[in-house]
Amino acid sequence: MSRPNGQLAIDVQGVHKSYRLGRVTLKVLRGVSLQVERGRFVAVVGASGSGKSTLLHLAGVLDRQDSGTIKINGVDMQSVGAAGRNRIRCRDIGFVFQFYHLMGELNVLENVMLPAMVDSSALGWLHKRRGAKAARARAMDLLEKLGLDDRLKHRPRELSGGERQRVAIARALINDPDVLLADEPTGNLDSKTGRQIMRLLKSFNDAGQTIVMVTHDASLVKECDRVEHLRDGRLNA
Amino acid sequence: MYKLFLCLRYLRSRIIAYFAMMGVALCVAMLVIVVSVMNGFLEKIETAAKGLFGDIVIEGSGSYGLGRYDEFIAVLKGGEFPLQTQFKAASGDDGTVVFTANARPADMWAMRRGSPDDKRDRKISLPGKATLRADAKKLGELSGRFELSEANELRFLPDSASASLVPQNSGTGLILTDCRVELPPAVAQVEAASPFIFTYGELRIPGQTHYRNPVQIAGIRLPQRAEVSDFEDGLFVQGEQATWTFDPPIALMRKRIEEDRRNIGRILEREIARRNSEGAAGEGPLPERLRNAMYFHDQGLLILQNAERFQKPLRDAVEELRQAEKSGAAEARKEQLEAKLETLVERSGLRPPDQRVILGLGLPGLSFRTEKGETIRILVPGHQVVLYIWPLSGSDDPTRITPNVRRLTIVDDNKSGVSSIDSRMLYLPFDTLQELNNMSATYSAGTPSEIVEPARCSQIHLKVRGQRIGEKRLRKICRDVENLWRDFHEWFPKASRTDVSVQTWRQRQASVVGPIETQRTLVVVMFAVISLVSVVLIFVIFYMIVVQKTKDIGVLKAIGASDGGVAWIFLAYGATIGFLGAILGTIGGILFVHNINPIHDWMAETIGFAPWSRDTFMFDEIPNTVNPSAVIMIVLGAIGAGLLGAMVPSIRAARMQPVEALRYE
Ligand SMILES: Nc1ncnc2c1ncn2[C@@H]1O[C@H](COP(=O)(O)OP(=O)(O)O)[C@@H](O)[C@H]1O
Ligand SMILES: [Mg+2]
Repeated sequence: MSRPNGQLAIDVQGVHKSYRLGRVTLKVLRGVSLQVERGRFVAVVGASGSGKSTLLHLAGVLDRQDSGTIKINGVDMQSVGAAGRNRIRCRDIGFVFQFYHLMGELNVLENVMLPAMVDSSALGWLHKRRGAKAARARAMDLLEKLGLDDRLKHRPRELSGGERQRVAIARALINDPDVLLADEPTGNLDSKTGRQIMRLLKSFNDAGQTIVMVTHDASLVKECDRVEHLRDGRLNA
Repeated sequence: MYKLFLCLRYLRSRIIAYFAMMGVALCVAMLVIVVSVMNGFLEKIETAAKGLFGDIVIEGSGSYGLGRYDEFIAVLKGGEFPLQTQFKAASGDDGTVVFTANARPADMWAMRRGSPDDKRDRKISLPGKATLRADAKKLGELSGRFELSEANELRFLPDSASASLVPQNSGTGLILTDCRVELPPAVAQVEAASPFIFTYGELRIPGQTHYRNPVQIAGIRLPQRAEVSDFEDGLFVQGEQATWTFDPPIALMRKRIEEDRRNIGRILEREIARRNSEGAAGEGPLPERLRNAMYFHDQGLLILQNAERFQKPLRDAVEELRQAEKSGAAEARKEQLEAKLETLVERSGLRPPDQRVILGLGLPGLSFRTEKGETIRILVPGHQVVLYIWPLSGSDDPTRITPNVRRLTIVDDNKSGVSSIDSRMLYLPFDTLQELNNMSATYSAGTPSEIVEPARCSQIHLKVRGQRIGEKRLRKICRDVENLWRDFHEWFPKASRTDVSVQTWRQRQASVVGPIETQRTLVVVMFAVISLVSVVLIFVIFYMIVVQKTKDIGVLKAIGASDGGVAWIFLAYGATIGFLGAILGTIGGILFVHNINPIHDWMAETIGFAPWSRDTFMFDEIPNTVNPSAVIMIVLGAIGAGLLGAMVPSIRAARMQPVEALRYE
């Protein structure tokens, strides 16, 4: 987190995205622009179905926009090939999903370490200091911060929703991404657990982590630096 | 790294992977078993047929047979061809000695075949050897060239080294005998050839008036037979010997019979113990039959023991007779010696070597099988049989055939493994059967040196160079041999009366091999369809697995896994299932095939279901050899099927957009 604050981590300019459902074209985003400076905690609030997830997926390079530009760390995503996009997904962006999306076959620690494994070659992974050992140390560190250091060997199905979401956050942070994108991280949790998750996110932001979070629950956003509202396919503060 | 890790994790924690693996294993095992048994069966028939006939059979149609077979074989195989003519010496114009002779047809034919490039109107010259004699005295071995002139006159021209052996100017007393001309093989691929006589007869046993059994009789030359067939492998007495004869050492026969008798003793003990443990009353029929067999063994041993004592006197008597003939003793003396020899033969209890027989192991009444499948010999070597042969050939009055009868001593028995052969066939020395079947040469009444009908055989069996020669190549060789015979027949009209047929072993066995090959194709097609079904099944299973993992794929992509990486996981998954399944199936299949006979016996015993019948399938045992190349093919096929089944879903998985995958319900 040594990157200078104030520079744009994410720069979305006039992005359009529509879905074609048979004969009907559903225009979800109609010229959305969003700038996120480093170190910020930005919230995007909007009603269900307003296109929050769509926006976040575009910002997370999980999908392609119809028009407009998306820059991550100043790099235009249009100009990056498949391998480059993979690398950005892996290193520069951490994504937290509403429904956690943990792998049932892996335990907590393995789930958290998986992106590090994806990022490393087989040789690199076996490297004494930089490989698995380092990833494991980072994972343990994150899980400790998230209060899960006693659940390392558990399978996701043995955890509560809040615990699962914390594992997902750890997984998103393992490769030390520039931006953490969180898609309704509390949407599936009770309000108490939701607030706990928010506090955790805030603490990471305090430590310098850039975060973009979308939610339909306006009551959660008081800790954020900035709140944007997504309405009719556009953003306004 | 993550690919391998996830692949292994998926394999470990998905029960469906084990099902898929079991499916592959079952298919592989099934194919291994079926292909092994079918192939083994065909191979057994092949070796059995080739064991009898060699690769190619030449047969004259009708009962006349094939004459001049030795000459034909000599030309066919190449090498030294014995000329039938004696060369006389005359003084040449310049005082040198010249050897000439009038060529006989066989010599002319051989010389011409030996140099097929030469036109018939040209002089032919081939290298050769001859023995030089002066009035029955051997002077030396000459080498040089034989020449055949346009007028069919043969000349021998010794080479310079040999010429010095020929005494000059002493011309006329010299002759050349034992002339051998060096021929290139007419059909180069033929490695060995052996004449064979086949006929029918009736087998009787002295002292057992009720025993009359129709048999097939083969006249074979030993040990040459071994060059064209595997006949020697199945011999009881001489199976492990390096050479084979109708006159095996008596000690060896005794040794084998004693071993056999001990073995029967063990079976008898086992049988008695079994009946005791079952608490059955009385002894039952088997022990009695075993004891009877042992009695015949003892009788055989006694005969052989007795014969052993006569070996030396017999040798001496034969020697004495030879000496008498050589020194030109009086007729009366010779007759006396012959009579003495005959009495000795009679007292020794063994027929002379030309009156011996090798039985097929399986002739009814002469052996039997226990329930456990052991063959128990009754009539062992040493015993005598009587053979009636109604000659098919050479009878003047077709309405009256008088049988030729011979008393023969059994010296060995043979098991080819084909029950239809072993239960019918017996083997006689070639010359003996030739005589008994009226196939010996007949001479003109007026001039006894003139052959009316040459000595004949029924078939000539050929062995072709190399192993497992394809049918196409064999057929080609057949045509060459047939052409050679046609040419031969022009020179020797009496060699065969009608056309000869030259057939491969497969053609001869077509009635047996054909249906089995069709059956194999049918079964392979059937199982290919079943395998196809299993490929589809594997495909479906993999598709389901991949579909179930769609969310995981989305996550993997969201955290930066490449399309190739995702595809790799599922492809490796499929390949591993295919591979492990194939290995399991192969091991299972091979174990099953190796134990197929015990399993079959067990099935027959416990549930009374025995699909393998000895009579219909010809062999005692279900083939239980596994063909490695077939197994490799099957294993590769299974891995391929696994890969193929995994391919489509993995590629689909790889090409999904991350969001699409994540949204998947
Ligand atoms: N792949 C898709 N195909 C068709 N329609 C979609 C797809 N993804 C989202 N939508 C539609 O776009 C709209 C916005 O969806 P989304 O971005 O998920 O909204 P939010 O996250 O704000 O609830 C919704 O009406 C949804 O039905
Ligand atoms: Mg949403």
